[in-house]
Amino acid sequence: MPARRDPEGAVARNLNEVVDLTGVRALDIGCGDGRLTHRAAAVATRIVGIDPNAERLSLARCARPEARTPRPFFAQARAEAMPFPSGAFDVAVASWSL
Amino acid sequence: MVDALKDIWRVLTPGGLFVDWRDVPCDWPVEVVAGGRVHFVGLADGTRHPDGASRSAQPDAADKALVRLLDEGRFIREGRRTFDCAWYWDTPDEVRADNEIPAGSARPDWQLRVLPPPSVLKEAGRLVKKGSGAHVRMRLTMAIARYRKCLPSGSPK
Repeated sequence: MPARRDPEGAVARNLNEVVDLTGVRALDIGCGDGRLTHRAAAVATRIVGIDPNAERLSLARCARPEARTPRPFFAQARAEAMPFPSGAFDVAVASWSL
Repeated sequence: MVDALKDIWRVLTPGGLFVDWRDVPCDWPVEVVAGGRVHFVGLADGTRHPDGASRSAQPDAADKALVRLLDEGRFIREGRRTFDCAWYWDTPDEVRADNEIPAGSARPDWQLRVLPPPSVLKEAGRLVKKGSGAHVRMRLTMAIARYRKCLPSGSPK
């Protein structure tokens, strides 16, 4: 069985304490399987996850823990050249991606 | 790395927040958790890949790039903290399977793999066999930092 990574949710808890995503337009850079992106979708006005890896993005797109509004949007992209206009986000989170 | 941070700066609204979280390469405790008790069995070297190569190049480059953007007045740092993040496996064999890099394979550039020393895994195996429902746990040190976008003049807008 692969590792159970952070089942206690330490990353999400610390992220919540460091930044309030309620009502913001948020970008999850290096979103991987989208675990945090989906979590943020519960409170953010708009949440976009990007990752350069297509395989991980397909996992993120399939993972829908429950119906959420709004749904996260996922895009294959690198942080060096993001397909978004300037000033598009209130918060950007680099998830283990720097 | 500087290019990535500059594009992050670009897509943020003035005064927007950038949060960076990642592991801190250092020695990470390896433990066996059984019946509510925690047994320390040794350390995993989080500064090295399983093939012995250093893991420091990327975090060093990220830190230097962040310092550069701070110096340019594009961001101000508003705080940083560290915390533990635990990964669990049922057996030492699973730790190996999850972290070893098969001979002849390229090291994945995106997936963290840190393999505790054989002596640590052996001791973990001994303890796991003793306790039903026991798990092997590695406690990674993580850091999370928050930055606010400024205009190069230094004042948030």
